[in-house]
Amino acid sequence: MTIRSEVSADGFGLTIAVEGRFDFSAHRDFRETYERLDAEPKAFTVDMRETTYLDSSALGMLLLLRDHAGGDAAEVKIVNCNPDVRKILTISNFEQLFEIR
Amino acid sequence: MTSKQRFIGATAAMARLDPTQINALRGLMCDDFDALIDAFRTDSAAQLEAIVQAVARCDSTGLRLQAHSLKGACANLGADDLAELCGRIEHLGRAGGCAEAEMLLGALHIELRAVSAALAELMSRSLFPPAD
Amino acid sequence: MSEPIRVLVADDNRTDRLLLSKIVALEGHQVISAVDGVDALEKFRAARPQIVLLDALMPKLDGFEVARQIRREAGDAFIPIIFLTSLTEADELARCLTAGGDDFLSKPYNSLILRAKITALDRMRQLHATMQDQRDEIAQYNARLLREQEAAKDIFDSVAHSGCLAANNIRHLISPLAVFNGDVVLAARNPAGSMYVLLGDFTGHGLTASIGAMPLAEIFYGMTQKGFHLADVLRECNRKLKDILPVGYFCCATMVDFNFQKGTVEVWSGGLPDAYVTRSGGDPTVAVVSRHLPLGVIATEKFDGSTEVYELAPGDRLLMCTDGLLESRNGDGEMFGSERLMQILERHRGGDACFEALRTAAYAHMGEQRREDDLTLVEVTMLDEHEIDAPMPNYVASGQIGPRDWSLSFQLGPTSLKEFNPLPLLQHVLMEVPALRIRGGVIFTVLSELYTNALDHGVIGLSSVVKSTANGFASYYQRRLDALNALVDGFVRFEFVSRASDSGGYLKIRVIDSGRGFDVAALHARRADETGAYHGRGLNLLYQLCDSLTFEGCGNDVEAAFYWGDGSDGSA
Repeated sequence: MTIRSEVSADGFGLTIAVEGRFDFSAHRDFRETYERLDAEPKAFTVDMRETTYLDSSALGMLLLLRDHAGGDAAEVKIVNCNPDVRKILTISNFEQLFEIR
Repeated sequence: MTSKQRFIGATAAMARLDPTQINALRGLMCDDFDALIDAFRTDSAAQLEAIVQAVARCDSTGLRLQAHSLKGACANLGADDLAELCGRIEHLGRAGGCAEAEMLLGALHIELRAVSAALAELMSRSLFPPAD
Repeated sequence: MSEPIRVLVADDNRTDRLLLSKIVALEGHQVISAVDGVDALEKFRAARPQIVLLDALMPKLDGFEVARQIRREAGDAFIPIIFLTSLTEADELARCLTAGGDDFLSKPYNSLILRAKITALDRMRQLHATMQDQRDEIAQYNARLLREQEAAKDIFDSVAHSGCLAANNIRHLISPLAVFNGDVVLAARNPAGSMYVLLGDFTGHGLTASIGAMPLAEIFYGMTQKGFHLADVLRECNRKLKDILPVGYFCCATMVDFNFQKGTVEVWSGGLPDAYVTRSGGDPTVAVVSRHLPLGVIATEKFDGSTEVYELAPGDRLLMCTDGLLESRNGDGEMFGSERLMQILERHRGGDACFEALRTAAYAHMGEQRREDDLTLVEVTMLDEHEIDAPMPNYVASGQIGPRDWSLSFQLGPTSLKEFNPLPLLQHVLMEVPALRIRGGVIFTVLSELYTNALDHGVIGLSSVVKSTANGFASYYQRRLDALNALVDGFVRFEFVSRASDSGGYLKIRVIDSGRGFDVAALHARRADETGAYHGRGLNLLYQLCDSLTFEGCGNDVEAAFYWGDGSDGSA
């Protein structure tokens, strides 16, 4: 499990990519990508292209990110989901809170 | 005794006892040095007797144990030649060689008497005075 | 110089013994001498020395055997043993160590070396003793933790697994250690006799996962007992969990309302895998999909309590499970999966054997990887009302006596009719009267029935005939919801009058609505050749339950009465 992150050139966007299993062990690394930033991005993207598995603690981490990003006013996208990841997000009805592609 | 006689006695004693070891013992035991020597002289005589008996009966286990024990004590007291002799007898005891052991008994007797005498000298006066 | 300790010196040769004792005593230690192996053991038992110096070759019992026995008797404690030897062969020296010795010392004895060895070994001995103390402390601490967990489990069980889980129409599988995986199953009947069942799966693990189950259970049981609607209970649960759980923690849940009178189940599902409605009659299995966010995620104002309703005949079932079942893996790492689940449901088509078949298949799949602590499964079966064997709620009133002569008028206008369910509140008032408590279930049913008729058929004007058609329920509820949202005028008014004396009393419930009423006579005529349609059943039910039932006006004014004792207010 590896987490990579990148701030966009204009400083407005942060993309976080999770490779491998997105589970409890990712907790600290995931938080650090957005908590210790000089930039203050407004738009957040979680890239699941290399994510193989998602469990309920990962859902919790997404909620934490959304809360950090402004809660109901937040702009958080979850992109490049494979069918398994998509399924879990669908069962939890997370498309009510995130833009999911 | 004349000083010449003392010197000859000293040489003879020196040949049988390691001076370094003796001095170390003296330093270690202090006032109990004489008691240590005395214990050895008494016990070793008894052990010699026991060895003779064991050879006569051809009791190889008994022979081995007694010779081993005496060997150890000899080593502690710096009587290396005597210790080596005991070691040979012990070895013969292991191999079950009672006849060969019997042949060494004579030498054992002589050597032990000499060592015992040398130790006695040490008791009565300082044969190896400490270097001061 | 190290701390003084007790040292046992065992050597059959007096000279050696004297020498050794002197060396050891010079170090400040207490010397215990032994002359042979047997003496050595006796002295060891009596004096319990901390270090032992053993001559390897002794008569009676040799040093090696003594060492073995000492080790055995020392048990857990570490007692260093130094072999004294004039053995010179390497294999003999090695034997000293393999026989349980920790070091050896050759003759002639070197005082410096011996003293150094004693010091070093004593240091090891102390280290060993420290580690053992720490180990014991950890073991004690661990034992305490386990006891606390046992206690927590007991509290959890009594809160989270009470209610009517033992009802004859419920079957469930839940780990005895569910307190550590966050799964919870709650079941209770409401005053009308309906059965609410909630399956919950809290995120996280360990005790923290289950702590949320306490308030959840309190709310579930409290509100169900008072007659609140499914969505109201869930809204309150969501509010509470959102309040107390940190961001990122939530509870996936499915809650159902089994109405045995109507033969329906109402379902709300947020975050759990599909639940399944299986029918005994051969109709295909229906998957009930999660349509909502889990509890504790979204703010109260945004909470969506919308539900789905399914008709069930006696023998039909609803099955729900947490993801533990679907995600359990076999030896090859393969998950159980929903396809396998569906196959078993199809094979047993709503039959009695289905639940057991599922359980067996789950265990077979897990095989030796068996982790039962994550398997949670609940099956609820629809039965005829009189076949249900499950306790009804007990009422706890605020006082002993209660009001003896009172009346209450309560009217709801359009906004209230849309947004507020008056039944729990009114029921609460009625249950303050001791004599009514025992008939609480009946009274609540009558109250609900009268209100539903007044609102649905009176104010909104829906015809209940729709319900008995094939797709009837779904479309009925949708139309009801639409009409309710569009309501701009109308009212429903309750008027209660109650008197009680020592010899008896009565309660009269009058419900008036703003609707156009109905042809009362025609309805009564139809009732005579009852065909089992919903609306007919409703009226029959009212006649059965009330002591008297009268219609006034154009049918929009109904009075139900209950009497007890001599039925008077004592003023006659």
